[in-house]
Amino acid sequence: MENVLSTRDLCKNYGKAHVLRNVTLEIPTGSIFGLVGRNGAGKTTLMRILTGLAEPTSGTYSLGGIKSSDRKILTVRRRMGSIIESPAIYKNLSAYDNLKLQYINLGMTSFDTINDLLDLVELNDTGKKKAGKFSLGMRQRLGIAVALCGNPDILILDEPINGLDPQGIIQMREILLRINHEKHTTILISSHILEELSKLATHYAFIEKGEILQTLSSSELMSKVRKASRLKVSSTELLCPVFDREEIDYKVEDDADMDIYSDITASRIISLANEAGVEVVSITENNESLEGYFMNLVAKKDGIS
Amino acid sequence: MSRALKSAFFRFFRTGLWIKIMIFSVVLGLFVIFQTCSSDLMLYMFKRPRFLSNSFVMTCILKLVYIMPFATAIFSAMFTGNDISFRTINNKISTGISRVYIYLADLIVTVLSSLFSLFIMTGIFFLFAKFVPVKSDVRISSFLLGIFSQVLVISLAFASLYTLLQFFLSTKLLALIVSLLMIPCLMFGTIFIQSQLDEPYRYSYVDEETGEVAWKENPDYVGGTARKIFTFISETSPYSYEFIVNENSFPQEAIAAGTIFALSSAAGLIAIGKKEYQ
Repeated sequence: MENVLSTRDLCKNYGKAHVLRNVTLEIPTGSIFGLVGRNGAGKTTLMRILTGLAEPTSGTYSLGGIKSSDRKILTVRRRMGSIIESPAIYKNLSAYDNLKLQYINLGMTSFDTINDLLDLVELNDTGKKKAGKFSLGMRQRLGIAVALCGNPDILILDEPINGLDPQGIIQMREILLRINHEKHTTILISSHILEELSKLATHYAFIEKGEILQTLSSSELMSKVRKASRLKVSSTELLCPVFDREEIDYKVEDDADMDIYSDITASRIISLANEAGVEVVSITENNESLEGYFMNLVAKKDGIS
Repeated sequence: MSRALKSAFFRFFRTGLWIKIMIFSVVLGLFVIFQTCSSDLMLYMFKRPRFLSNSFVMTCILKLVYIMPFATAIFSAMFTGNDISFRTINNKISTGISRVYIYLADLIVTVLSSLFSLFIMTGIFFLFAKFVPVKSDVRISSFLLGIFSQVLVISLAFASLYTLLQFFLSTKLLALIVSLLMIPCLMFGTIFIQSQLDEPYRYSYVDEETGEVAWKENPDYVGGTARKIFTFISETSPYSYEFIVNENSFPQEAIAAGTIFALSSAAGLIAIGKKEYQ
């Protein structure tokens, strides 16, 4: 898969504080890339650098194959939409005028598609109402619409569901999924609400204290965090044929450890093990959530076992 | 540049800022006329027909030296300040518009807003002087044009300074407060400097022992380099009485205001590239 956005050894220092340390990321085209990290981990700083609001202290990034040092990056930025922290909208203009202004910023001369965008974010009935009088959810959706002006190839969204009510979160999720599926827009998204993020993201990067701890695809992550029973046995090799015959979903870790994903009772596992002539040492429940997985990663980095 | 300018003008018109400036200027212009008429008994027209002359228009325009900086500070906050406080400048930067063009576009619109207001108010002064039911004799003289040009250049200098403040101070309100405080500081600073310059080098007194008049050096007299600096400020500040009474000081003050305009614009254009926006 081609990368629409990549960073190489990005560093950002504010005085003696190292906000980003050698951040190297590759964001595949068409993906929804979730950036997971605590407050102050460096998510927003990274996004601000990618959107041109801040300069890296060292390192480079490229958008659509154009390096950040290249003057053409200004042209490529027209293919990118963003919301950093909160939607940047003129509160003294209507939703339509906010979008028209962004079209002008992009150098577009035809405004025919503004109403389509308003339809997409369900703001088509706001008329001349000023954005300052919108609810938080409406402002967030308007922010998304502004970011979507010009049909961008990549969307950078920093905490887009912050402060939204449950209905607003569902609406936002549906909009983002629709954009990704219908327009094949690559989305780089950060959120504190990891369970919500897990409903969207196809790829993840975990960031802590300015360092990328891990990047992985959603299927890789799901296999790590899905509900499983960890089985410690005398031999996994002997047990596998029996589990295959019974169509049990499992994954072998090593000679003695395996994870079972199928919904199966402990007594049934023991009976199958006896049948295979294998001794069961222990069975433990492994029900790690995305938050748990992230916290474990952070704990490992901090040296806490 | 065209994208930044089109965007700035679209906002200027669509937010109704131009109408607000127009109404503000008309009200302010009428207030200045009322204030000038009522404060000058020679021009107090409602008692008996008076003769409105160039001095009436001149007095009104001179009052704009005090009014225009305040008005420009408000226009700048309403235009550039909104762009920063709404963080909509981020949208422009992230769509690849050069920061220098963004700054220039905002500066141009602020300058034009200030000039728009200045022309409206000056126009009202002339119309009033021409058509009020009193005997009028208003001619556009080179002296009047000189004063008007002076106010115009001063407005440009303040517009440039305020744009710089709005771009680089953290909030619109803070920038507005600093902008507004600059004016009284400059006024009182000029008054203080002029009072210092007016201190005599020495003063006379009657010696009690001899009964003769003696001279003593004034310890408050400002001399040397400090005097040169004070003199320069006094001659270039729009709030000095030199500005009002001395026609010869016009070019010098215009050059000073022009220099402030050029320097603050250059500082803004250089610094905008390094500024990090939230």
